[in-house]
Amino acid sequence: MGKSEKIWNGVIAAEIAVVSFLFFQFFYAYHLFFKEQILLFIYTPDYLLSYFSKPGWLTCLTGDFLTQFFYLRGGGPFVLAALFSIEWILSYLSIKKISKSQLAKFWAVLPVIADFVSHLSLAHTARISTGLILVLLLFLFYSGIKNKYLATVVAVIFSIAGHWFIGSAAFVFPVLVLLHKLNSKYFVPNTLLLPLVFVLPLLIRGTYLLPLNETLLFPATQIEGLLPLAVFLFVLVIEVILQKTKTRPLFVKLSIGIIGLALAIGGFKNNVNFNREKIFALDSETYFGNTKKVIELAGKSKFENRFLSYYTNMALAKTGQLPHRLLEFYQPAIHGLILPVSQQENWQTILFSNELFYLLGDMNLAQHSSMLGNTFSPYQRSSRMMKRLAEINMVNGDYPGAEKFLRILGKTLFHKKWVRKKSAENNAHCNSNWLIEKRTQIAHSDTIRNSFDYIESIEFLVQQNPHNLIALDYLLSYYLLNKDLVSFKTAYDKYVKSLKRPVPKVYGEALLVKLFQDKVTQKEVLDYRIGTEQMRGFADYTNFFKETRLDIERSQDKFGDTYWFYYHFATFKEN
Amino acid sequence: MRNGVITYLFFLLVLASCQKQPGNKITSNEFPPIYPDYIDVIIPENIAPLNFLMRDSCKKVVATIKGANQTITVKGKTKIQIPIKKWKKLLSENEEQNLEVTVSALKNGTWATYRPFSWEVNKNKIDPFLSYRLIEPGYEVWNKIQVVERNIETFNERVLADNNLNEGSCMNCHIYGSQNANISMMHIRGEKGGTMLNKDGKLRKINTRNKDMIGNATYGNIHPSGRFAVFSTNVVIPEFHAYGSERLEVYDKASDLIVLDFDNNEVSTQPFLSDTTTLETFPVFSACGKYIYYCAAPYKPLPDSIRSLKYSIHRISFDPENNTPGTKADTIWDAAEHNGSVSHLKTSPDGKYLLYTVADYGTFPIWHREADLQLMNLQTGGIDKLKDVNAFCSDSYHSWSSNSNWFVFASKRDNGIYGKTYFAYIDSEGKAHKPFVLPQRDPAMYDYTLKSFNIPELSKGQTPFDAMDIEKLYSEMESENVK
Repeated sequence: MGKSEKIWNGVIAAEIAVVSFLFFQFFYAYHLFFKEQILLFIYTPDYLLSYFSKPGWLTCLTGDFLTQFFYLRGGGPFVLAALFSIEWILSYLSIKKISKSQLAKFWAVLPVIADFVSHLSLAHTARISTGLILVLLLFLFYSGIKNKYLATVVAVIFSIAGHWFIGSAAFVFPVLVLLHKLNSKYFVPNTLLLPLVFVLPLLIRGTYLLPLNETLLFPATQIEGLLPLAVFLFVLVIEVILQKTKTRPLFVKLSIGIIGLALAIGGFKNNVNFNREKIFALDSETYFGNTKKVIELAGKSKFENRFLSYYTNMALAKTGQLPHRLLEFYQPAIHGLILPVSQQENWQTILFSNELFYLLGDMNLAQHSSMLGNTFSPYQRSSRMMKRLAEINMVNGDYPGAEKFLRILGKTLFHKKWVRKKSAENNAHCNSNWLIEKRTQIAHSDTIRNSFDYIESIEFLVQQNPHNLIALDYLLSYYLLNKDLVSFKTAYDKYVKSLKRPVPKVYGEALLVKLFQDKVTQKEVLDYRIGTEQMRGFADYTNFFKETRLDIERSQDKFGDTYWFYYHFATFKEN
Repeated sequence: MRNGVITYLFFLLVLASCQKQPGNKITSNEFPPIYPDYIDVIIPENIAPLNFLMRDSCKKVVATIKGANQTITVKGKTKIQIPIKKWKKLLSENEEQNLEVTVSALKNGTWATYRPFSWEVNKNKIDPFLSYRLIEPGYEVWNKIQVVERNIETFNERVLADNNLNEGSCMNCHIYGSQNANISMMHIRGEKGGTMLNKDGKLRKINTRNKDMIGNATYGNIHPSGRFAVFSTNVVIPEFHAYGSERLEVYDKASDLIVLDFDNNEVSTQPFLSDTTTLETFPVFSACGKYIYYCAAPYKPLPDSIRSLKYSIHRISFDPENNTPGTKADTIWDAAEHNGSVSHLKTSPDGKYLLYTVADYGTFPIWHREADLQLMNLQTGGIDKLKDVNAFCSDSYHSWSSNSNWFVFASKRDNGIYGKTYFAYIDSEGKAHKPFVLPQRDPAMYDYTLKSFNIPELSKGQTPFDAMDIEKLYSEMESENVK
């Protein structure tokens, strides 16, 4: 390798690392946080041994080991940048070994692009990257063996055992061997490796208890997960063909450029989801306890989505702003208040849904939702759900239950610090501020309800403790967003009037509509102590409405954040 | 200079080795803080090693297990994992004798020797195979479920069914007929599901619902002859409590009782067992096969009256010649009299006992913390509340060993959430003794698993099918319909 080539290689590897780090750090960081939250890598013998129960144990083990670093700010982007650089170096060396091409360094960028764009998808994991790296390492090891007989033995062993420790990436190995032996007398005998590597996993499928399709894909969960491997093979085959046909280097370079660009644009367009990144941003900041940041991010976002409303509403409720600012943000009727835990929802929604129940103080529904969030997460082990389950059990005073989850988290690398604090509280059965606060919210008597009777559940919490203002604001907001002013006023009269709470903006506006509809006396209106400014506002709105009739645009400019506007113009549609 | 360094290193070595000696020794009157709780238990001669760990943060632990003629010493950091060969030899040589276990642990530089405890080796063996369902305690829905068979003489485990191979369908309990592994059944739900019946390794798939039934067969029991099974058919409603740890309440909106003849695929019942005035559930045959015991409660509007929904134990006759349940039910445990509600009936193979769970109310005790096992002597009618067996959390889903000397049950006593399987011995006087949890190769396994051990059932032999057979049966075979 000449000096200039070394510099070239260094530049390409560095560029790959820098570009990927910057992208994932500044544009896609929350996806990586989320990927850590749906995994639970623990340092116990049984857990580590459990990797042997499925094919590709080494791939999965290294991939999951690396994913735990996604917990750190910058950790995920750093790990991915390193993986991509290693992938490129190994792809380059493998292609060069097979084709002797001067353009190997450019060809080697393509599988990296494929892996990069695949990582934009939620289903793609570090396991796929480590699979590619491991199979390339195997090939380079094999191709470095000088003794032909020994090389053949190694090829057979790797073909037999590859699926066991690499998983689906092992299918690439015999193809690499064949391409390597293309012009050699060993080509034909080596073709026997192909059926070996494909048939063996099917024969031992019962050992891994995998359905047919999963046997060939694992550790990928869908066919798209094999894109980096497919691109790598494609690149090799094309390169060999171009070499055979002695195609001019300029044409080859052009081809690489076009394919790379198409892959990057197509893959990016297909997989990137910046809207989901916004959702994960609010979700993760909620998890990190950064309530102000949630409101700040929601304020900046132009994206209208029920999940954004869900997290925004929770942040507003937590800071007591929900009844004041509810309508400053996009509200898809009641769908932005509560996320249902049902078969119609995907696993992410189920995983998100516990946040609200926990916030309201409904520990039983929060526990149900967290259990299901954990159960339906891709590996049925979520560090985030473990934390939530520990908290719920602590609030309920179920110390042995909390200890179960704390003990598990205590075996992780990065959640230990959190566990130490919570364990101290749990072991001492002490009443920290957060526990005292949460325990004021929980029910002190029992009722039985269907898991979908959310409003009944919230009302029960309010009945139990009318000072649970978060539950109360959710109850009233639910009625308001549902345009159910009768229930709103009934609940308001029952729970809010006695609280001597200044009338929040949205409640005042809704009350005025209802009182106006009921044609109540002035004295009754005054009883509600609605501010004079709001009264004036309502008069303005009524006059404006009479003048402009159904001019939505003009009304929105002036009254867009009022309940009056919502009540008149918001229409319900299926979510 | 060089000599000085050597001398210094020598002293360091001496000092370090001094620390390793159990120089500071104390003797404690307390039992060692071990997990699982294996202090003073009766164990069958054929059980796997009772590995355990120390709960407090010790640096080293040593256990000495002393028999009549032999002593095993096992060392560990925090865990005691007994070599299986030595263990087997020790148990076989100490039949009907006590093993004395002494545990010493190094903590803060001091060796503490704890109060010794005993393992009484009982010559009555327990059935060597145990099947159970591994499921996340999501208590309403499922994702990954396995039915597993464990050889309890070793640590070997085999998967009998995995719902990942059956399109994710729910799988219910796997139950044996008279603890015989060659007769067993299991319900698999889903589009291609049915009741999987194993008879001598030949698998059949049966659609257990005929046009007159309110649903598929649910809780059931196989007749000693292997020809019949008695089932309840239940319309099950899961709902949630609001208060603290009460979690889930599952009740039946309707439930009936049927007997299914596997030879002719024929269902039989009686009008009073399939009307809407009474809820019937958890039926079992008596050991002789001439009676059916079941739980019954008068229908009430639910969930409003859930706390007054209390099931009694009823008994009817059964005529195997004509596949006919009797027409008159006797009440042998009256819910009103005992102010409780019964579920999960299991008759002992020797016909002496009936083991069941009693909760305050309802029909689904696994989330009822107060749910406890009780043992009725069917000859005297006496009831044993099994004080030594029950714990503060739900104890339920029990099954007998074929010799009636042991029973297994699921209990959430450790943390209130995850169920584990426990074994208890019943002596010739009918007294049940302190139970012990199913031993594991790594005793920390229970701490880190996210699965509940559900519906344990003992059997005398190894089940003659595996998960791949069930996959084939599920996906390739048509269901047989019942009349």
